[in-house]
Amino acid sequence: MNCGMNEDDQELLDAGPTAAPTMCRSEKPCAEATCSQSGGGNSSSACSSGRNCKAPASSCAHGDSDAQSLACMKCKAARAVVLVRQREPLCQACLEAGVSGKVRALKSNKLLLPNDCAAVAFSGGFSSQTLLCNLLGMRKTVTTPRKERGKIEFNLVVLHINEATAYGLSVDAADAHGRAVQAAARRCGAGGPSAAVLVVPLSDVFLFRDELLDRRQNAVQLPGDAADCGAFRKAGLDVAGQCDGQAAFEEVEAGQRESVGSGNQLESVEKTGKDEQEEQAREARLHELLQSVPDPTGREDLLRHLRNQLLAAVAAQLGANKVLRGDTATALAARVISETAKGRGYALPGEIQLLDAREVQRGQPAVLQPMREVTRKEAVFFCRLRGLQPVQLPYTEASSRRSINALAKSFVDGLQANLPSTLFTILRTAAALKSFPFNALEAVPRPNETPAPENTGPATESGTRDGCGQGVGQAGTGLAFPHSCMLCRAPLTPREQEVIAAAAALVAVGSLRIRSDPREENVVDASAAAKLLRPDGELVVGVHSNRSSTAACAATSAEADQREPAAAAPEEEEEEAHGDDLSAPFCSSCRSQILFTPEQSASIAGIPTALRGTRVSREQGCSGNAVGSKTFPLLPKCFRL
Amino acid sequence: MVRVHIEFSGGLELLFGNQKDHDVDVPVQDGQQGLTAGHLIAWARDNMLRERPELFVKGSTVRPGILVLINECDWELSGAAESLINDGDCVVFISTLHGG
Repeated sequence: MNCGMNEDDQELLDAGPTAAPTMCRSEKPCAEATCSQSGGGNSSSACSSGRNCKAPASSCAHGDSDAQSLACMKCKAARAVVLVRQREPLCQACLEAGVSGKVRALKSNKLLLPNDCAAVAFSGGFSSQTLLCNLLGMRKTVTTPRKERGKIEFNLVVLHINEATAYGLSVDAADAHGRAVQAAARRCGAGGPSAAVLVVPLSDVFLFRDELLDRRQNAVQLPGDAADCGAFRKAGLDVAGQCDGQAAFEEVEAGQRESVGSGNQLESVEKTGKDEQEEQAREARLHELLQSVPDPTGREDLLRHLRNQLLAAVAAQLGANKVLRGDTATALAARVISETAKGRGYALPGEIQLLDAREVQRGQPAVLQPMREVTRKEAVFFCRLRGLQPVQLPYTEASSRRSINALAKSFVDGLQANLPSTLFTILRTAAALKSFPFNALEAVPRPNETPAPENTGPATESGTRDGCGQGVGQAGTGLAFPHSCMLCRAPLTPREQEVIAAAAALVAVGSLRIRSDPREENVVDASAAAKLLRPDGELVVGVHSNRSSTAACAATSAEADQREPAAAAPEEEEEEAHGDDLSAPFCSSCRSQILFTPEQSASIAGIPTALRGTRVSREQGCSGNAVGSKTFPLLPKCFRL
Repeated sequence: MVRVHIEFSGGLELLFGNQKDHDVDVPVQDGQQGLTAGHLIAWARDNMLRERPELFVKGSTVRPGILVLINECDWELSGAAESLINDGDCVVFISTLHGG
């Protein structure tokens, strides 16, 4: 076999679904310059020159150029440039048509509707650029000619989470990377009033929701696109108002152009010293958080988790109801393997489907993965043939070499090289896992609509941006308790949900402290809480069960737990080493194994000290608490309801 | 000697002195008719690679996950490692190991 495969692989391939003849199947002399016989599989291996030559290409003296003039399998006319899937040669046009057809499945599945606002997660790599190009092509703007029907009017914001500092780059290098990503997005066609590009540093995950974008608008790094974002918000997300948006954008851009033209970006915006200090504090905190994870896999996963949180939070803040990610089939297949290896099979179905609506109840946007049928090779060639260069983070892979994720990725790649059906076999198998009802399309609210009645939270959409992201914390407006654990993304049992909802209600009520020590009967607090809760029989019962369950928790945990209301910031905090935060949406297995274990049993059990402790205090920053024990002010506020 | 323009993308350039484009003259192996891609890879590993060979090659061919283009065409269309490389060809190695 002359495709670079050895004999063992040849046998494997023969045994597989695609039988592999070594010659062009027709076995007729090719009279044409390009072999247009429909020998799908391995006709490439035969010399496809016009001469009657059946020798394998490598030893044929007819030269390389003849062998490359293989016709595209789909259109049979143009020259093939890439071999995809099960050895199908395709020309550029057919490749692009195939890829965009898959992204357009969004429309045919009614996942992207007119007047939606979509946030595109853009990393600057091949698959992000492919996704962006195709999405922009799907969009109907004011300039679209009438005859191009089938295009949808939706708004787009391109969102990049700048993780450069997390990989050890300096702030300046991170800024340069952010600018490079913006340039890449613009090359794909983004960057206008309804396709703004926004770069957000990962350390912003520590900001509270309402502060998220206000900071970025005044950011000094991105004068041009920060203005885009501002105009984007001002203009609103209504397509009909695009004219206003355009005017606002031009105004702002004109203003920015003057300052940018002066050559010094810093002149255009004031960034107060305090802002800068706080930003550095957040960066330091992020760094400490990542360093506290001892193993590379955990660190990568935590990074990924923070990135997703920030994406969802910023998108929600911008009023987007959908987040579009560019994960390719290759990436998803590797994730199936790695997540299974880590024991996260329960949460897997939600991760790999086209639509992930688990967080919608909390006011977060639904996550779509329109590239899940596109292989990474197709995405690379798509970009390459259009001349789009990827933006690469200038770091080496040294840190990721030993992680489970890297191992899964190289496993899938290695298998795929020999067996082209690997990817889709893995995905098809994983797709057999059914998703939960709350993770279905019906759960995603349309713009200007409140979500389905089962959700009690005010997860409003593009019309009123204030409600976004605030599911809980407003006394009297009801609660939106989560359906899945924050950490492992597995669904919560009804009992777990009950406990969390009750605890969250008590937090929302105000300055209450619940001691889970069964000896202390805080009767007054309980009844006050019960009064302020909704007169929903279930919740009142939940309060009682909360006490009993916390009593049970106290029995298992070595120390007494103390609750601190999230709302009462100026209150001085009890410096408790390991609080069991009952309102945090974690499943019981995460809670007991990873998060809230007391120090002694954890160190005995050898559980990594990362991710312990829940104290998140603005004042503390990254200095930990006053008590001598080792706490980690780790989890960002967005982890709470 | 065959003059080849080699380009590295997708993070591979870090292994080759942070340089994306290289113009090299590759000697043809004795006894061979022309320069095969496999031989080019071996030559690049021996003469151009600065560090971490296991990220570029695996055995006698590129590591799975690295795409090779010869004159903007998938090398699998022309025989993968057995493809012949002519004078003036442009060979691109793209690593897909980083996420997109």
